[in-house]
Amino acid sequence: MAKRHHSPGKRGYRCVDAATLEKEVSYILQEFGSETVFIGSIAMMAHTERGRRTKDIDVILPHECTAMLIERGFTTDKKGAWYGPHGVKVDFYTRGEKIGGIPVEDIERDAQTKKWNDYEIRVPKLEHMMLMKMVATERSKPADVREAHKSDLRTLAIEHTKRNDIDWKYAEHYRSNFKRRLEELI
Amino acid sequence: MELNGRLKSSIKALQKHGYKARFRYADLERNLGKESIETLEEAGFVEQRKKGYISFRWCAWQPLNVIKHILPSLNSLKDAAYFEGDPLAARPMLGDNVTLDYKAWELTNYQTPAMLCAYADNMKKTCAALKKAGFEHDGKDGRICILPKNERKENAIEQVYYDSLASGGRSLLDAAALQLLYPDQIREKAKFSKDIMNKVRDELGQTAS
Repeated sequence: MAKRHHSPGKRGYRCVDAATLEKEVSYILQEFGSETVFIGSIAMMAHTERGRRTKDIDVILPHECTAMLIERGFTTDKKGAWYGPHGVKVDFYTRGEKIGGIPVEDIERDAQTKKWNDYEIRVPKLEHMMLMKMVATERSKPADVREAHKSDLRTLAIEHTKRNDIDWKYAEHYRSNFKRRLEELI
Repeated sequence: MELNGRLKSSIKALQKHGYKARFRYADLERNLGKESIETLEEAGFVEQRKKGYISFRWCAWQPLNVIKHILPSLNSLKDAAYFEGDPLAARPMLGDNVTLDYKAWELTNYQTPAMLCAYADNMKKTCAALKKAGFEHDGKDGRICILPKNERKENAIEQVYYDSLASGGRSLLDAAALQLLYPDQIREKAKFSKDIMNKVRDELGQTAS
């Protein structure tokens, strides 16, 4: 079993660098298979083909099993947060849950394969990503938190409007007036 | 632009309305007056103006003693030039004046960088050199951002901090991280929500010594 390490940063804060993040993604793929769906920042990077500022990994698993995670070298802290063997925080989502109002099953079913660094990974369909970011922006009450989510939504919208590959009809299936709402938000 | 009386009263007038993601232009014009909106726009606070709506940068709602330090950054961002291409390939051409994402990453190891931003002593010369090297000029979405050199802060941490506050978006998380990691090096601190400070503290690891 790989040993979890903490790299002490400035003033004793624990930090994660890009290489460690990549190692953790590679480990997750190795342990849970290539069908694993990555959401959040890793999916953002895959969709925009750009680097992005991140510090954790969000993953969909068919079901979260504590014993199975521990067996694979994951550890948990007092608050119940999970960390991979390389020290990166990993948030798990499972079937039966909804993310940004979208059932996890739908996200898994329609997930696309994209390139992230040297890996082929499965990530939510673009429209699901935009819907999740839209909800995160809307639900964030403090202006500064909202700003951070909005910048992700804007990046996706600008990038894919340029490429003209947003399936507006698909997005409207989950959210009526999706296009209008997007314009209002960004 | 300096924090003169006209700008101060325009900021205060906007702040009276409280933070809003966007305002109907006509309503705001009625309440603030066209001149105040133009003053805010000239100072770099306007983020977007489209289809009858106007939005402002988050930093417009900060106290005036903080805004005073943000103004030079806003000025530079207003006149930024963007290029598409590999930021790492461009970095050797840009000297030591790197700020925002890459500099924040060096100082905090918090968010991996996405865009390379650097101040240029000579904007025209730097942009010409980038073009010559094959970097394509790209409106406002490029991954390389060249900022005209403005009134620079002596303290490199403060420089990135105020640049991050001016830039907004995910750079606000960098500013919050700098505030947590280097509290003694930042004289005038921004007012963040408890939510964002807790989030950043949590993500940095909560093991501050």
